[in-house]
Amino acid sequence: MRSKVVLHAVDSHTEGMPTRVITGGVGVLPGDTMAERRLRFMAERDDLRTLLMYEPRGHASMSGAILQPPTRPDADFGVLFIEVSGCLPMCGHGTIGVATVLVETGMVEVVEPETIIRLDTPAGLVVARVRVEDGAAVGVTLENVSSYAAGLDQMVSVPGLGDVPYDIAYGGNFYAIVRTDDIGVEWSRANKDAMLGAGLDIMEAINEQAPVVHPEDPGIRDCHHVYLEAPGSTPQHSRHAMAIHPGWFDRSPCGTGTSARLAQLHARGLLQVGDTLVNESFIGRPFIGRILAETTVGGLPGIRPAVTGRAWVTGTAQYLLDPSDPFPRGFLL
Amino acid sequence: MVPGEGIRTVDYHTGGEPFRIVAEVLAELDGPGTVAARRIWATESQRVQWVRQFLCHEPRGHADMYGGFLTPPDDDDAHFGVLFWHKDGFSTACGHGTIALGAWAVESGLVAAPEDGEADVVVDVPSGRVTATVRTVGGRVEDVRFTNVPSYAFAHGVPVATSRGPVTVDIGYGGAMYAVLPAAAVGLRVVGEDYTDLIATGREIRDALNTAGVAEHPDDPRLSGIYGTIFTEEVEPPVVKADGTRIVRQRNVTVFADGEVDRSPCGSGTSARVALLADSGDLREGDLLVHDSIVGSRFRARIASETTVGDRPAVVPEVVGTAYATGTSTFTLDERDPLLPGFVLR
Repeated sequence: MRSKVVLHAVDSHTEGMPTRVITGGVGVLPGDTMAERRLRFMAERDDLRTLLMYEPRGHASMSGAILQPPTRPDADFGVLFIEVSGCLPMCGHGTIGVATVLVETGMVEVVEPETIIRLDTPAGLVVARVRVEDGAAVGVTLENVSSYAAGLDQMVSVPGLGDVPYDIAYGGNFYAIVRTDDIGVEWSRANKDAMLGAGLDIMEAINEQAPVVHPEDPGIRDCHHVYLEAPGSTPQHSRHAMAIHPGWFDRSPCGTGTSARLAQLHARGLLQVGDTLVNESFIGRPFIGRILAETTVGGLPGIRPAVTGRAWVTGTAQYLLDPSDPFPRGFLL
Repeated sequence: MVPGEGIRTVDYHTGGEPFRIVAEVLAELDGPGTVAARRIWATESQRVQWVRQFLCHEPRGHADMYGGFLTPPDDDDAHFGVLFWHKDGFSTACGHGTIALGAWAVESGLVAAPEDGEADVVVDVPSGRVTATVRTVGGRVEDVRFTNVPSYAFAHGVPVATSRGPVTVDIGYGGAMYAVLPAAAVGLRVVGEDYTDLIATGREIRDALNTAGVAEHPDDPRLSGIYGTIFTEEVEPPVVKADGTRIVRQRNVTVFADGEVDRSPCGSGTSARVALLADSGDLREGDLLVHDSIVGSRFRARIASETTVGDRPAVVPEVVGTAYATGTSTFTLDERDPLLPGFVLR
């Protein structure tokens, strides 16, 4: 076998969502900060992202992170998040995956019962608190951005569904929260195509009829995620399917979505500071959300959320590229 | 279920379609016996099914992953045996997998090949013995050729009602039964933008034909029923060369099993296409079918010989493609992982 590259990876999943952690073969990316490295990577090395994320090495819901030396003295590692859709400045499930891999492969000094890992991400310093038992990472907690409810008891008109009641909340992205009972859509894995179609139609209607913008950053706008709440969900234990633009379901319980759900339940007076939420995904796996404190976001009441999740190592790999391969950047259908 | 050191694989793709090779023989698949018998063992073995799901399903694989467990051959005349697998089970034959195994056998040094020339990699698959002929140029694998089972036109002009209107399809056999129609007949094109509609319409046509029971295999009831739907598109009108032979350029997408989409031009689908084109007189011995996939990869196919199946005229198709290594992996497990062996969300 001939190859132009040898990209070393430790593959993991965070409650079902993959995090392909690239530990070697890339070298040090140019840039004085991780934010700068991200911009230069997107401009100069996008073929490396698509090689690792797209088919045939990845697939439509692949996700990963490239480890780097940190650009600041107070961090243990630099992290560049890579996705099928591009490079997110910050990624909740990816942080949980990276922290788990760092502990379980001994790339950081492991301290029981808690190992604190400071990650230099394009969005800034992220502190991951890893609970460790017998050398194994059994839970990773990270504090997320300030989250808030942007609207409760909203109504949007959706072709085929009629008037759809929803709440909308921000937890790093905007999430429309819709009870599937309210729209007459059965919440089940067997009905996932209809659920996904409904989710996509609702986000399109919201973006047309009631677009959302972050009060502190006009660059953060629009709804690309719909939290389809399962019947029987409570403020303490919610089940959902997260429909994501342009048309897939999150495999994990979604860190930013969990934060938005906390903000919505807090705004409704159903959760208080210190309360926790078990937020279960479409494939039945949980993240634990907790309200750390109250705060304001652009003058609106909000919360500081923490999210705890688990990840597991699934294997190690060396990704190769034959010099004659007709898909040197991979492909996506 | 998985040994402490994990399960090692070498991953290839043939025309974009993945093929994950497990070269170390699983204990349940070892010992005396034929590959056809081993397929039954695999199907009935809880652990082998578990390992298939572990390697194929998310998070280690995905809904369109494909691969093979290597086994001992039926006898010393073959280099090895293989059990092909996908997300739903074990298949009897696989063209793109045969091409990948040919490339891997030579590139890994398992089968010696000349610097420039050809080497035969003989593989026992559940449906019989196949030979992948690997052509090398300057010490590198250039392409891999395999000869498929006799293929034939089964039916013409079968009417089917679809949600995109009534259509007629041809049915061809190339190792599996396929319904074949121009994508334009349902207002679609063989392009990524029409991916979701192609899957939905392909499933609809397959299900309608199977409900009507139109495709019964003459000899082997296990091969009855439509396995997939092939949507075709002409790339350009046929070109007649100086020697009178023709080059027929087509693009296709094959929607098979439960809504899976072949990224490659599909080995058995290409063979069914060769049989139908031969039957309609659009492809003769000496002609070349250049068959592209929805992602732009290419197989080349010819009629190797003419024959009969029962009393039907048939052709033996020869399909040429190329495969490339994409990586090597060691898949491990953490006993605390709640999602073992894996999951499918499609």
